[in-house]
Amino acid sequence: MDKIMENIGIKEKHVVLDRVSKAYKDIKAVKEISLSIDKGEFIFLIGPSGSGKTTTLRCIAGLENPTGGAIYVNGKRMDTVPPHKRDMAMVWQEYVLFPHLNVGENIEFGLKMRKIALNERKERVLKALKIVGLSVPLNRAVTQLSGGERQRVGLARALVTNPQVLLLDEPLASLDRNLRLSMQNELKRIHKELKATFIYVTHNQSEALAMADRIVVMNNGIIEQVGTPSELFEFPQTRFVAEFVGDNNIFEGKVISSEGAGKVTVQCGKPVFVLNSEENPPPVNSKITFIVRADKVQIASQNDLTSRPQNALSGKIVAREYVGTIVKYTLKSDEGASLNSIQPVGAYHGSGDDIVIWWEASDTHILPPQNV
Amino acid sequence: MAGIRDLQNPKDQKRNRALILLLSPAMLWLAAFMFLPLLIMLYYSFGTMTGVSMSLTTKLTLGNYIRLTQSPLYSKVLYNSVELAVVVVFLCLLLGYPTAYWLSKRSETTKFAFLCLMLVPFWTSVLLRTYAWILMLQDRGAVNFFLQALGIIESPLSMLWSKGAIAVACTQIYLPFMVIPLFGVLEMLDRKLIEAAKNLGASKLRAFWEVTLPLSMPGLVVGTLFVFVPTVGEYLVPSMIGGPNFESAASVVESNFGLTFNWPLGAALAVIVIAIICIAVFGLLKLAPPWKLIQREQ
Repeated sequence: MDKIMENIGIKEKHVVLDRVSKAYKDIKAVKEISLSIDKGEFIFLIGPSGSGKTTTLRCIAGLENPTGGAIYVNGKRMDTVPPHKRDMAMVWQEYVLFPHLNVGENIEFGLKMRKIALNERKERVLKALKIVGLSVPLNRAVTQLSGGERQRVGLARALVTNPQVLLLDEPLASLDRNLRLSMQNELKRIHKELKATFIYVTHNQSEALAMADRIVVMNNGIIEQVGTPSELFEFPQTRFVAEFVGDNNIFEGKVISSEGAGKVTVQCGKPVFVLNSEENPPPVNSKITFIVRADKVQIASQNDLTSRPQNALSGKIVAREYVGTIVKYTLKSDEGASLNSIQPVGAYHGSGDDIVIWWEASDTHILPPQNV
Repeated sequence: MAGIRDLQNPKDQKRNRALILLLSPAMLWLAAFMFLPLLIMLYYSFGTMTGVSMSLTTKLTLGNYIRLTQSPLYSKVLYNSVELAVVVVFLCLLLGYPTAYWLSKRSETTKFAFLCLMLVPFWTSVLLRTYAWILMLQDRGAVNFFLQALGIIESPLSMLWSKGAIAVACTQIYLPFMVIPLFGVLEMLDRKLIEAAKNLGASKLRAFWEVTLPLSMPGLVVGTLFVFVPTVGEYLVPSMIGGPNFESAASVVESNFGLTFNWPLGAALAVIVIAIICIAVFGLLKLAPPWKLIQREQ
């Protein structure tokens, strides 16, 4: 038993999920997921609604009982411990402040439950307020606070107990954009300051890409991929991750030639593309899925090109969306394929323009065949 | 600050006038059939009856009140009514809170079924239900029959004609008035608040004490008032199953008006009962104002 535990790193890791499942009557919300989290890591669980990310977080908090598997914290079995003895504080999307208590009473709640003396409670409440950067009187009713202030109180209430694990359930989803961005920075700073393990659930991938040490992408109750933001962004391992993270163009085709130096030729319907395969080139005649990130898809007017690039399609601009520093184009090739391209603001292309769409062979990424 | 009206604002003044106009039929009704009679009663309470002619003198005195406060008989009667109300409130809370709490966590169907069941007793008049208690509690009644049949007791218990019997019967009548407001607040309670309390280190019991109970105070206060107020003035149940040794304030008021024809004394006693109710209501509302305790939308 000890040996097995060492193998999956239960002893060295801070939080370990070992084949955790959660089923409701006829719905399997989480299906045997395993995950190890390091001490002090800022880890994100992302996925669409219903992917099981919140259920996983609630299992870690003890607010749901897993129907299978085990959860370990610091090598100790945790899923059998009632929630109030787990020492994991949670920050909620809807803040969930106690409406009958004022700011100070809300923050000190966890300390009171731990029977900490009044003087120390006061000291720690003030310290927590300082950490979250909040300056409202302690006797203010929480119902009189703005959304941002409430979330800071929620955060202070969680942090004041010095939890070994901080669980954040879409903490910024109810805030407006500017506040969200500044709170992202605050959370990063607080994480650095406290060196605690943060487990953060969101459906907002940009939040995850901006803050995470590692991201866990979940879908339909399983983990699709675990990786650093750049790993997920640049090398998605499954079709779902390619669709969910970043802005990828996905192609399916049949390999017609596969040469030594990783040069692979693929037929996707009529057009033929040349790709660079990073690792083992796929065998001839096999079906593969590959992606090209939207920011790697180039567009140009027919006339501007002196020669036709290697991976090129003729097409039209369907829609153009100006997003400040970049422009997002929706394109349609003459064969009928829909593509996305992200370009810096500069050369102007308008809707309906005839254009050539192309990309470099080195900007393609083949998804591992077993995961497609 | 929406909702607060500026009286200087002509638009709001107009709205206020419309509101008063809309409310006026109800106001008139209350004025004619409640406030006016109450005022007449207040006037009577300062009067005296003269001799055999049984007519009211116009000379106003505090005599009735002095008599009521000095006679141990009347203080005993007032004490009986207040004690009964306090006991019934306590029993309704004891039975009603767990019921409301349990029901608030059930499925929609169960909630619907139980709330319907709670209304079933209202189909039968209080008079009949109280009479049924006599049949159940008397020496040869249903309760004694079962206890004897089960061998728990040998000779029948004497349960009727006691304070306990009155309290039980009143509790049966007023229990829904406690359960329904409590169910209302417990039903609205955000379950996540309990989860947050547990997450912050509160055991189940502690979470109930620190979060559920304070947040259910509005329902508790309203339910307490709904039970306390009618029980203090309860007439029917004590006079039917209280027996000769128990007199409630209401039955003494009744006998002063209907039997001894000492209307001023009866009126003074009624005024005191109303005063006790008012003090209790204002005290409770001041102590725990439900409108301030209601969990506001975050």
